[in-house]
Amino acid sequence: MDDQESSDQHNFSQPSSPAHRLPTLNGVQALFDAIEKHKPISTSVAGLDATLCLTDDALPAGGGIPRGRLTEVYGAPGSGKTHFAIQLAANALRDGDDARVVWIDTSSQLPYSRLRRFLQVPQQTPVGDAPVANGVNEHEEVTLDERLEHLYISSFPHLLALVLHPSEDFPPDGTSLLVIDGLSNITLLGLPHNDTISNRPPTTNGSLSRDDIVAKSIATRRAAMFSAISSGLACLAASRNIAVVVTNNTSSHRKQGGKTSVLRSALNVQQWNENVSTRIVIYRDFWPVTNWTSLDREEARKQRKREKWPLRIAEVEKLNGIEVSAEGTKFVILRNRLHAVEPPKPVSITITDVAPPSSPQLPSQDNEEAMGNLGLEDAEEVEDQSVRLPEDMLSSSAAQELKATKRKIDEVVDSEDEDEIEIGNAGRSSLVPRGQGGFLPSSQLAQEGADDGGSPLSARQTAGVGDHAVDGQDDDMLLHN
Amino acid sequence: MADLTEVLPHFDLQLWRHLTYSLEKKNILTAELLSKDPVEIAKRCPLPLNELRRLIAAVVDALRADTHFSSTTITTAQPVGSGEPPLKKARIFREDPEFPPLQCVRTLDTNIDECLGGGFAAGCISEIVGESAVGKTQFVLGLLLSAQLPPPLGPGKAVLYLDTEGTLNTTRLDQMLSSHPTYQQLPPEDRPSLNRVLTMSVHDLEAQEHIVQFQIPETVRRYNIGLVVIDSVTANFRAEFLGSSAKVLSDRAVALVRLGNTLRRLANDHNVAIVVTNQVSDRFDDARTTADKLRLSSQAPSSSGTSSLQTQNLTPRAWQSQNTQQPRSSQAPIKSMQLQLSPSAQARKDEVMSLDFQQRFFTGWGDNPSDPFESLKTPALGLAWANQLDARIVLKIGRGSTNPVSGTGNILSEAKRKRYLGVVFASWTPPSHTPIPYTLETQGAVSMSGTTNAKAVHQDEFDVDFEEVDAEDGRESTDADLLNPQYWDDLDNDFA
Repeated sequence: MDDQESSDQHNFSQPSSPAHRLPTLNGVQALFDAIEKHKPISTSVAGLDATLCLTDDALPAGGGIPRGRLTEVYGAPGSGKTHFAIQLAANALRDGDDARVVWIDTSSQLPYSRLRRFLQVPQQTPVGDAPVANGVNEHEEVTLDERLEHLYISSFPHLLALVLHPSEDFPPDGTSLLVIDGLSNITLLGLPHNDTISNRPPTTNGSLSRDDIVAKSIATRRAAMFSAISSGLACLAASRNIAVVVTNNTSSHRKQGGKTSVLRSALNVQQWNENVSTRIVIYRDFWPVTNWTSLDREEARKQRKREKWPLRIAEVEKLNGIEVSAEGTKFVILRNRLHAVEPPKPVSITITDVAPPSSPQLPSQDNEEAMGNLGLEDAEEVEDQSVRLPEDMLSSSAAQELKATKRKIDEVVDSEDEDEIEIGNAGRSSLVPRGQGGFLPSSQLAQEGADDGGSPLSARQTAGVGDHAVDGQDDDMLLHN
Repeated sequence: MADLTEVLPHFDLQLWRHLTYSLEKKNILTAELLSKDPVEIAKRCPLPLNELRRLIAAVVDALRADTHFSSTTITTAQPVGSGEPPLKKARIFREDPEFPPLQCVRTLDTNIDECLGGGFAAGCISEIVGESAVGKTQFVLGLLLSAQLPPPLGPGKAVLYLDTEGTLNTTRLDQMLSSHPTYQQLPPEDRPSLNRVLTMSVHDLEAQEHIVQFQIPETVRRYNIGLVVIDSVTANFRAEFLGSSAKVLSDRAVALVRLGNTLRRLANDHNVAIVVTNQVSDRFDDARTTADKLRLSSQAPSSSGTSSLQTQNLTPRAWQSQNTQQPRSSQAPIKSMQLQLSPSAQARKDEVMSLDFQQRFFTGWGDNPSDPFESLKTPALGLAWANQLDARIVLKIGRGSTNPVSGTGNILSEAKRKRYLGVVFASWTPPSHTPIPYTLETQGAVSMSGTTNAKAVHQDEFDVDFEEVDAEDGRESTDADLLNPQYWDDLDNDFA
């Protein structure tokens, strides 16, 4: 038995074979690996890069989109999300000779001509030099073709098959960036919604409770799918050290007591948000008013020329898992790259610490969490059982304000957004007196749906009772039809 | 599993008959089949676990093969495709004869085509939006003809016109065909013909959905169609979804997303250009004050000084120490923490990110701050539809009276009233800075000859990089330019 001389049975020591040992790395090597493998992908907008690297302590300067994490970029149609991603892809491809990028289209095809142009400008311009446009040489062309994987996904199950059941060749080794352009459109379509049960004949007796149950089950299923896709993407990012960048559309939400609707990400759901590490919003704005008289003719002409480009602003909303409010970075999309309009300033980030909650969580809160965020909007404010809204929809604004302030104090920061009260959400208020243990499917008879159909597939309350016509509630609604 | 036939039309469900009944009874969608734990599904609808696992693996394989992914993981045991091999990966940087470069449907007017970045790209959904009587249908009729031109002028295929409002005006088409110089110059066999224009008329939404989902793909395949026009996409939606209650609008949004998805699949699978027309509704906004207010506020620093508790210039070190002070941040970094934003920053953000303000930039009306009296319009069908589009082109009637009755009464001049075309957003080309003026002639849309300067400006935009503004400025005004009165008008306008 005792063939091997190195083993000593009496001491219970095992032969030290290499298979039993974890590979060791010296510290310098580990640091080099960390720097190399975790190098973020620059966005070519200097101020934005600086903001994005604020939480990376040990890494060298030059921030960007972090690898190993899920990043969400959202904006209104035409705001520049796709071109932002094209810039990232170009920078990632130029980062090394074997860097790979995977681009997944869900709607419009990646415009190759733009990517080609973006690749013609080097990522880092030496200070003081004009950017040199060097063409892509023949050798590089060959490798670029192989290093960019371009896929087209037509439905949500297709995406799940790729992401939740990855194989060795997807994503390929050495991938540093995975872009999914237009995730919100196919996600929303792939979720269960009321249509799947619309074939059932409506029951008259107890129809409310039946639809409640159905709506609740739909809500939990939707929440589960949001969880699945977001955790799948985050896992993929972390396990393969890829920067996963997702572009989303927007939907509109009406703030409580407010007259205007605000644009939020179309996937603004808790189960999605909790796996998103970085979130960037891109929006357009007018150029700031220029004081023409202070400029001489030459500068005025230059400024006039500059203002011909649409001004876009990228703002970081979430950084490394923490919601922040940082000043947006102005940039324009040129023919072959993104260009920051102003030189980078010292970045200041606003975080306001929140006082610990003074009262214990309300039971309604738990139910809300259990149901997950329904539909696409922020969690509806589940009615506090002790607050009875008047039955008619036109509740006075005073009552709403009172409700709002009460909510601010009581509710814990965990809730998605305190302000998302729907004005005159008749369906909900009619359910409050039923007292079903605070359970209320946050039906999306919402102003958002009213406003612009921004919430296409929310779990809808099919109860006939709650379905008052919301006349005169919203100027926008009437005009939009 | 009911949606599996939609998602994977070629998947052979017969092999799995014994499982699909239970799955459908429990209303399990394909997405859930892929994302949930098989053990859980096997428990809920009682099914043998191994069989379920095999089904999931088969579905995954079929989906992967369907993603135009040159993979070798197709298991030959399952009949996944319709017998066709998976498509090859497109080559970007070298010419691949099987994947021609982005094919565009042109308008055959140089200025307009340049503004559009070549034309209406294939594989994309483009929308033409404008008030009634601005000439959307006329514009689109021109495309029906030009799409038939052989490459490089066009895709060279047949076209399909889906009509929801009235009948196709074939007389006008004939008129355009016989009076357009480009068509007349071609030999008769290359000329477009009405024979290759297929039309369908549909007047209710359910029929429209059925046609778009089933009939059009079949027609496209059979007749080799390169352009599908839907004129207009709004009519049936407005007829079906009456009223403006929240439920109606949200139902409508669901239908719109589904339509968008179907059109996208059609565009991508068969490489067709899809052009839809849309109507507008009025929008009321206090244009000047809102715009000015927001422009000025955009200059204010976002970290509004003393009102927020902690505003610092954070170095990475400071950030780290900051993190440790807050008890919440001791949790794992990925876990999201909702911290309140300072109220003033939140308020400013809400103003800029409000739908009303951002609408100015993607609807086509309101993005010119120096024109506060422009009457604002909004394309119908809202943000839900705008999210489905790849491009939006706006047609506006000139700033003269919009009421065709009033005016000089001179019919000839009314007919030649200026119209403007602008690109609001497009995935393949930048938005247009100055709208292109054009008129509707017998041959179609013709841009006005005074647009040479607009073209020059456009040329500058494409050729000139930001830093090179200095270098280019020297060339901006030549003698010929100084003699051109338009040049001085432009200068004055720019300083206004």
